[in-house]
Amino acid sequence: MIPLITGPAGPIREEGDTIRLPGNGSLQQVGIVDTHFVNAWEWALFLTRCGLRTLSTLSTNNNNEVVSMPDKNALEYWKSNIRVVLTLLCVWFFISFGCGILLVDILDEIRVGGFKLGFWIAQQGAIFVFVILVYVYIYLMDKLDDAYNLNRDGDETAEPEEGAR
Amino acid sequence: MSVQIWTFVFIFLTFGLYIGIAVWSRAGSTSDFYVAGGGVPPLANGMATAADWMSAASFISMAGLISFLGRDGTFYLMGWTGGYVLLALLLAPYLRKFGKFTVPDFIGDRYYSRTARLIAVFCAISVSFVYVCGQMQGAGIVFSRFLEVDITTGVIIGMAIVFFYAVLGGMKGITYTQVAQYCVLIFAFMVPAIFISILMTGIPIPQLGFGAELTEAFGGGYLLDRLDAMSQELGFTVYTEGQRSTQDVFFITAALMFGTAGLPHVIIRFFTVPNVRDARRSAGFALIFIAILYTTAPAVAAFARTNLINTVNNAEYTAMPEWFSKWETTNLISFDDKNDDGRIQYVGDPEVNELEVNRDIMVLANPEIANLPNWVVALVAAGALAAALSTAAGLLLVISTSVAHDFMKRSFMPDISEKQELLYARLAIFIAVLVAGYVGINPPAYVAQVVAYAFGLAAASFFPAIVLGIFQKSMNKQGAIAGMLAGFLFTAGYIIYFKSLNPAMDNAQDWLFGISPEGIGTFGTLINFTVAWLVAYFSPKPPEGVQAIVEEIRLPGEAIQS
Repeated sequence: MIPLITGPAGPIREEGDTIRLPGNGSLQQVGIVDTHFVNAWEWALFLTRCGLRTLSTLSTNNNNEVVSMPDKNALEYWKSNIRVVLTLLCVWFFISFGCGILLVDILDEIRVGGFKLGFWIAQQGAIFVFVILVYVYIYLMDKLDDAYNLNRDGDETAEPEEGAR
Repeated sequence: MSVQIWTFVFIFLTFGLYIGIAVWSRAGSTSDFYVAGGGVPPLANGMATAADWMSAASFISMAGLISFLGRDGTFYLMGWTGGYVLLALLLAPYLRKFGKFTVPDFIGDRYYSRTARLIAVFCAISVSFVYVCGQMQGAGIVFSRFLEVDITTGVIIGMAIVFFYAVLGGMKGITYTQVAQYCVLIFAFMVPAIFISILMTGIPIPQLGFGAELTEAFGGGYLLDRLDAMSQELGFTVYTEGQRSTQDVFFITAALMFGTAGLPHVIIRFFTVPNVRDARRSAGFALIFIAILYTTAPAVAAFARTNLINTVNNAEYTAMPEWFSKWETTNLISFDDKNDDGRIQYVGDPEVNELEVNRDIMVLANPEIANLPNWVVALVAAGALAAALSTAAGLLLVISTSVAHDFMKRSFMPDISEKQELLYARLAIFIAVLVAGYVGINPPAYVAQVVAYAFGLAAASFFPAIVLGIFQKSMNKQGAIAGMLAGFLFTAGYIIYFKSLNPAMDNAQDWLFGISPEGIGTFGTLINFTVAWLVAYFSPKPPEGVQAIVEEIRLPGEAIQS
C-alpha cells in the first residue's frame, strides 16, 4: 500500500524538496532530512523503510513537516475499537469491583450450593468472567480487523508457506 | 523412597530439562536476546507469559495467605487476574505494533525524551528488583525445607541455575524454559489439589470441591460452612466474611490490577510474538493458563485451612506427624506451650494461642498435612522452584535489557556494537543475580507482600504513562515525566514511611483514607494521571511526527521497525 503524499503546493516529489520526517522509526531523529526523491514511488518506498506504513493519507503542512491525516476508515476503525474496549471494561468493572467488592455482602445473602454468591464471585467467578472477556475481545477485534481489511500481514496466508518449507 | 530423595530426583530432572532447553536455544543476536527474535508462537508465548507471571508469590504464598485472610484474600485473586484484562485490552496489541524491545524504549520514543527514558529505566529496575527479591526468598524457603540445606546454600543453587540459562539464552532461552516450567508448576499445583479434593469431598475437580459437601470422614456438611463454624468456634475471623474495610480491599485490588498491566517483565512478553493478532491471542492463552491455577488456589486455601485446624488443634504435641517437626526446625512453625498441658491450643485469641504458622508454608506443607504420598510432596517442591525461577529469570532479563539497551545503547553510548551490547546485558544479569541472591538470603517480609509493593510501584509509574501514550495523542513529554515522577515518588514514599521509617503507625487508623501500603499504588496511579493531564494541558503539544506514530500504532499491521 503506497501512501498518497500531497504537500501544500501539490505532491512533493520535486528534486531538492526538504521535509521533516519522524526519523528512522525513532522519534528522536526528527529534523530536516535532506533527502531527494525522484518520484512519488521512491518517496513511498522511503517511507515504508522508515516504518510509516499506514492507512492514513500522509501529507505535509506549511512547515513541510510530514503529518498523517487519518482517512475516514481509520478514524471509524479506532472509534469502533474504543467502543469494544469500553463496553468490555464496563463488564470487567461491574463483576470485579461491583459484585466482588462493593456489593459482596448483599450478594452473600444468596446461596448457590455450598457457596455464598458474593464470596464465590470474589474468589472464583470473576476470574472465569475475565477469561470470557478476553476471548470476546479477541473475537470482536478479529471481526473488526476483517471488516476494515486490516489484517494486512496476511498471517493466515503467510504461515502455511512457512510451515511447508 | 523418602521425601528428600524424591525431591532430589525431581529437581535433578527438571533442572536438567531447563539447562537442556537453554543450550538448545542459545541467543545469537540482540533481537534473540531481548525478544526471542519476535518469532514465538502465541500458544508457547501464552505458557511462557503464565510462568513468567506466576511467581513464588502465586505458587507458594498466595493460597497460604488466602487461607489465613479468608474472603479478604480476594484481592490477590482478582487483582492478579483482572489486570490481565487491562493488559489484553489496553496495552498488548498496541505495544506489539510499536515493536520495540523494552518498556523504557516505548516511553523514551513516544515521549521523545531521554529524561523520560531514564526515568522509565529507573522505575523498571526498581520494580523488577523488588519483585525478584520475593522470588529468591521463595526459592530459599523451598531449598531449606526440602533439600534440608540452609537457606544460603539454597539461594546460591537457585541463582546459579537462573544465571546459567538467562545469560546463555536471553529471552529465547528464557521463553522456552518457561514453557517447560509452566508445565512443571501447573502439574505440581494441580496434582495435590486434586488428591485433596477427592480425599475431602469425593470430587476430583478442586474448583467444584471448594463448594461441595465434605465426606463422612471429615464430618459432612458443606466445606465452607464447616470452615466458618470451626473458625468461629476457635475465635478466628469467619472465613467467608471480610475483615478489612471495603475501600482498602478496593484499593489493593485496583493496585494489583494496574500493577499487573504495568509490570515490565510481563509487557515485554508481548514483543516476542509475530504480530498484533498473535499478541491478542497470546494474552488470551496466558489468562487461561493463569486462571487454571488461580481458580484452584482458593479451593486449596480452604482445604488447607480445614486440614490444619483438624490436625493440630487440641492435639498432643508429642503425637504430631513428622512434617510438623521438620517445619519447626526451619522456624516457620513455632509452638509455645503456654498452659503446659502438652497439647496444642490453636485459637484466635493471642493470649491463649500456642501455635504460630508462617503463611508461606501452607501450600508446601498441605500435601504432608493431608498425608499424600511422598512423591507428591516432592513434586510440589519442584513446582515451587519452577515458579520462582521462571519469574526471576524474566525479571533479570528486564534488568539487563534496561541497563544494556536503554541505559547504555539508547541513552549514553549509541555507538556500541551489537556484540558489546550483548556483553553488557550479560554482565548486568550477573550483577543483578548477585544482589538478588543477597536479598534472598536476608529477606524483608512475606513473599506475597513484598511482591505487592512491586505492583504498587509499577501501577503508579508505568501504567498511566503507557495508557496515555496510546490513547491520548496530545500527551507530551512534560506531562508524562511529571506524572511518572509524582506517582512513583508518592507510592514509594508512602510504603517506605509505613514499612521502614515509622512501622508503629502502620495500622488502619493512621493510614491515609484507611488505605494500606499494599493498596496505595492505586492512589499513586490516580496522582500520576492527574499530574500528567494538568502539566500536559499547560505545555506545548508533542511534535506532529510523534502524533503520527500514535495514530499508526492504533492500527494493526506490521510493527514499526527500523
